[in-house]
Amino acid sequence: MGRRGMFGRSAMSVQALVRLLSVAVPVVMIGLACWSPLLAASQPGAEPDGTVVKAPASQQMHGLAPGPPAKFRRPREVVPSVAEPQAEFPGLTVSQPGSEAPPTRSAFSESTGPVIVGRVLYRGLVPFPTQIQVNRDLDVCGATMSMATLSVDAATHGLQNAVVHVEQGAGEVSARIIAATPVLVRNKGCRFHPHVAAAQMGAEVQIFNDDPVMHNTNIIVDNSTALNVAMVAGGNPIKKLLKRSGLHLVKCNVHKFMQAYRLVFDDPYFDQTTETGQFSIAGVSPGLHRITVWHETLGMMEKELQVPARGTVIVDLEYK
Amino acid sequence: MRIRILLAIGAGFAMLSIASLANAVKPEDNQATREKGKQIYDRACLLCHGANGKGDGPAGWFIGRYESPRPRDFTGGSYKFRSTPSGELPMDQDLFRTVTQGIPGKMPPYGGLSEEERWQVIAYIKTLSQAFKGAKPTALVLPNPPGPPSDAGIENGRKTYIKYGCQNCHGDNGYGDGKEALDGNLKDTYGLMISPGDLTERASLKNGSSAQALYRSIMTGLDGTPMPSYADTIGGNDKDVWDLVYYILSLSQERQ
Amino acid sequence: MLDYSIGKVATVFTRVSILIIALSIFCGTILTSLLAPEEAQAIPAFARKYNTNCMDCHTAPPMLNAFGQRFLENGYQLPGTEDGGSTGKKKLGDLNLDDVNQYLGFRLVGNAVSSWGFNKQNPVGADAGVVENKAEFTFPNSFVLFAGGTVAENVGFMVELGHDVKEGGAEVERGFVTFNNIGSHNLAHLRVGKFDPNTFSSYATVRQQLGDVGESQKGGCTAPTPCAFNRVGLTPSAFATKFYGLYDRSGNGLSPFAASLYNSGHETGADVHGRPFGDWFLYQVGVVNGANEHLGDSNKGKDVYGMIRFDYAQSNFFSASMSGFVYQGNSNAKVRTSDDVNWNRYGLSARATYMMVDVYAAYSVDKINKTPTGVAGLFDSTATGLTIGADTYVTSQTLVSLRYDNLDAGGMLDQRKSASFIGVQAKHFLRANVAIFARSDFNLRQSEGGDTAARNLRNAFFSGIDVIF
Repeated sequence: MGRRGMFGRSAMSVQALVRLLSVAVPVVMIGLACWSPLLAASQPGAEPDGTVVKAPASQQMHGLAPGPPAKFRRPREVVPSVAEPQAEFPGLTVSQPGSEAPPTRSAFSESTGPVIVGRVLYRGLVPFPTQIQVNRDLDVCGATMSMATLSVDAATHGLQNAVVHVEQGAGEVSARIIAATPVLVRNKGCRFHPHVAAAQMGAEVQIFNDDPVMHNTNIIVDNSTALNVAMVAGGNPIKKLLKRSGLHLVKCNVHKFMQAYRLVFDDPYFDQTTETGQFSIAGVSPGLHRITVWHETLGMMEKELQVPARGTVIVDLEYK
Repeated sequence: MRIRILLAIGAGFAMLSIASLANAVKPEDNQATREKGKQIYDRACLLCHGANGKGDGPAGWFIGRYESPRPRDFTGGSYKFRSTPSGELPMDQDLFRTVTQGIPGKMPPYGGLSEEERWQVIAYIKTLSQAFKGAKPTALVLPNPPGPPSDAGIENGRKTYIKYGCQNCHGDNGYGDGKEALDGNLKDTYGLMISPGDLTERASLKNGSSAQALYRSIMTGLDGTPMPSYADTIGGNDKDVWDLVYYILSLSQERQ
Repeated sequence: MLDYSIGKVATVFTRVSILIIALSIFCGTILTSLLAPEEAQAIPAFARKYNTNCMDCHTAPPMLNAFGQRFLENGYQLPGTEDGGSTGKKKLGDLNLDDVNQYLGFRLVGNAVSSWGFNKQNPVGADAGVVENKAEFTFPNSFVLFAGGTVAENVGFMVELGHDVKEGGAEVERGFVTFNNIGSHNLAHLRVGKFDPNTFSSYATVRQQLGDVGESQKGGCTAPTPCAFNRVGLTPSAFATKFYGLYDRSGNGLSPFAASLYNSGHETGADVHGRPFGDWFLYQVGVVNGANEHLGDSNKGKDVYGMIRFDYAQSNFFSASMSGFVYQGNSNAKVRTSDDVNWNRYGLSARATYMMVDVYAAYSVDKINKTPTGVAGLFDSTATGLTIGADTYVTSQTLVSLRYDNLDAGGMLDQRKSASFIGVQAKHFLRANVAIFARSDFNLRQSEGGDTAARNLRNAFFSGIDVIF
């Protein structure tokens, strides 16, 4: 009895929140669609500081809170995924999977090819960041280190630091050869910055040590050493080419709590989600593709996606 | 008369040995060589390194048991003892050296195979990983030591030992009892616990214990282990590295 | 091979004091070995010669892994090579010399504590004083000196000199020469001398995790009455003599628990083995004097044997093998000290090793042919023995072993005692070549035929140290 009463009260505030979101989110997404050509060409830059922890007290309640009312509930299946606000914004064209209708021009897209935009979501329980006891170089690293591997935006359930990749079909060649932007690994405050980054093969990895202590940057892919270089305090930065694709684990053997990830792909059809879980990938050839999402704790998720010849595809990828 | 005969015999021996050096030419890396290499591999190497070269031979588990090292997984394309930069393939000469000398405490030396046989088996081993089909690796420049050690040099070597963070793993006195080792934090790339070398036991150093070998270990790092490469970070100034090499040599006792 | 005859009187200890003393010995051993400076050379001979470590060849010493087995088969040359003339040799002018320490080694095993527990007193005539639960200190029990290696390319040798500390004296346990890779690589290897015939089978006598324990015997044993065995020997039943009332050619009583025939640790003769078709098949044929006979003894007849073995050893840290043998004795034993009989054995053994787990088993059937008419109806001419063992590394340094033995005895009906035992051992390697162990064997069945050690034994406990240098 008391339970229902509690739900009733909180259900009302959730309703108001969802109404707000139903306006705000499409606005943001359309804005992203406008900016998609620029977003697709750029890489996520180095964060000014490593702290990405968002742990408001309400976060851990997400698992217990009821979902939004049925009218506003996002569809559980991602295949196909169609954004709700389509009804309110008739100008936005979204292709239906399997549809034979020729793709229509999007009034908002300025790219010549299709653009895939979307968000990676997670509505599950988000644990508090773990506090790790620092065992050496406390004056540089601090006494404890806060590790948050699951960063979810409270408002949008967007999952940060997930990497989305659209796989090429068999036999396809990357149409776009972008100038390989270097991917950075910065040792600062006994953390690697950025914590997660994605790059294309052939790009340069640049390693810096901003700390007054020695680190080694040990990059491991497929149980093999891709690169293991000592970074002496005050030593030179190191630039090497990325020669292997796949998930690169970046570790420091002197400070066991330092860990980062670099995902290296053969093609440029990837993006890393922002703080609100948004991503944008352009230039993928039309047709049926597999879209994969990687996250360091939630793992891999993959879906099928139909990409039109032009226009914007909005995709929501939710980890269950 | 006798001396002449002896001289003739001596000259004969000399010629034979020179001739054998001339015959010690590396055989061409073709299909025939690789097939011969596979026959040698199946008899001599398979029991530890496995039928497919994955390092999972029937006798391979016992060398480290639950810990590192296990026999080399040739399919990974990553090798520990090289003269090339970190993350690169080894030179053929590096593989030849390892097969001939073995690895102290882990792998027996295969000098009992003829030189030609050793090159043949190396040609086969290279086929086990796709990585060797790519660009050939280039060795780092590994010069001779600049001169005999000096007290000032060894003093600088001690400072370099601290600056390069060696004591974190190898310990304050090189016994291999650094904090990271004692805490059990050191793992190889397969996730197995690994112990840093005891620098005071020269004979146990797996990549060799001569001054050149130590220089090579420091500059190239040991792929697959936490031991990093220092070549890039020092920016061409290798005087500190040679001082460090002589400091490490001073830690172990001379065994003559 | 290692005869643990216990023949002297020991004082009685209570169970508690045994435990305290055992613990203090353990602690003392551990402390002294940790305090002793670690020496890089303190590794046994072959490991010294090849500058490598014991575990290249062993699962847990003395048992061999697949690499060690092939090394042994190749006459102590690295598998796939013929390096007997090159590795570990120094040149002195034109001569090749070995460093002495590269082919000389020793093994020292001591039971710091051995305690036998019986349900009730043994019958009259058994060793006085060894009646109830006894504990003894016998350190070291046995000391074995061995020299082995290669003399030249494809010529190997092994000499093993055993010394039982209690009984005194030394004996050449084994001594033989090998000529390897005759014809072509791995086609045929010849072994001549005094050797263990079964060493190439899937489970070999000299490779026991639970060390050999001989039974105690009443002194001054005279034929024809068999000796009263006070403590049954805890040896693998599949290798044992199995018959009560058998004598060797010289008229000495054969202990039913001693390893013999194909499974003997030391027979004089010659044999040939090889893998002519590839690693998967091994053959062995041999001829020996038989039944522990010394060289130069009466040449009544030679025993012959043949063995074949199938191996699977490719990858995944897994190997398995199965072998079967036939041993035909030729007047190689006597019944009632005067009548020659043919004593034959047929056996199967198998082994599988996967990462840290090693399981092995052997089963043998012995048959006596030409039973003399005088004992017709009084003599069971068939006997069987089954041994199943398993070892596992629970950590990189600790090995736990288990062994089950079942002896279905034969021989004189009024003497035979069948027996079943189970033994458990934990062995901790302080260094690769220094181990401490604790072991207990339990009697599983009440042997037929009245009060004897085999019937009354409850359990036997041993703990000690095993050093191989």
